[in-house]
Amino acid sequence: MFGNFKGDIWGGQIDMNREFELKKCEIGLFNPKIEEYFYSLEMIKDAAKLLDKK
Amino acid sequence: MYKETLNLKEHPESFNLKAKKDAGRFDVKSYLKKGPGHFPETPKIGDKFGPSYSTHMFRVELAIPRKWIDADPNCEIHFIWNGNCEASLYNPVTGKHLSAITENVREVYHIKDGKSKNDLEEPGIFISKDDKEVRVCYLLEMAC
Repeated sequence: MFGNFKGDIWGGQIDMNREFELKKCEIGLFNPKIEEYFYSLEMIKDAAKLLDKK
Repeated sequence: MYKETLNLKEHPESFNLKAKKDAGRFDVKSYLKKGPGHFPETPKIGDKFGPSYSTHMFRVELAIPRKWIDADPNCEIHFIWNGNCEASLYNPVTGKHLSAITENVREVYHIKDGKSKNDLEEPGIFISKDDKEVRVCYLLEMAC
C-alpha cells in the first residue's frame, strides 16, 4: 500500500489505477563465500576512507 | 551472490507458477490444499497485476535441482520474488505464514539455510523428489 502513491508519499495522492509488474521469480543456490568476500571488501573500502582522513 | 540461479523466463521447466487474479483479501484459507487447476492463469515475467488494493493469489511450485543438494547437503537455497509490491508467503496446506516479501526490502526467502531450516522436508511444502529434482510448493498472496 505504501507503493501506491503518485510521487511523494507525504501528501501524495494514491494512484488507484496503478499496475504492478512481476519482475522476478527465481531459485538460487546461495554462495556464502562470495558474500563473505563482498563484506570484507566493503570493510576495506570503509577503512580506506578513514586512512584518507589521517 | 549465487553459484547458480534458475529463473522463470529462461528455465520455465523449473517452475509451475499459477495464479488466481482478484482473489479476496485476507482469504488465504480458501486456497489451502488446492491444486494448480484452482488457479486459472499462468503468469510470465513482465505480466501486470492491479489495480491498487487488489489481491492476487499464486501457487508457486519449484523444482530444486537434486545436484545442488547432492554436491553439498548443507547448501543454502533461496526463492527470489519481486512482484513490484508487497506479498506474503504461506505453507499451502497448513496456511502457516512463512515470510513477508517486499520489493527492494526483502525479496529473498530461505527454502533451505544449511543449518536448521529445510522446507525440502517440511510437510505441506514438500511435494515429491526423484533423481533429478525435489519439488516444493508455496502459496503467495500479492497485495497490490
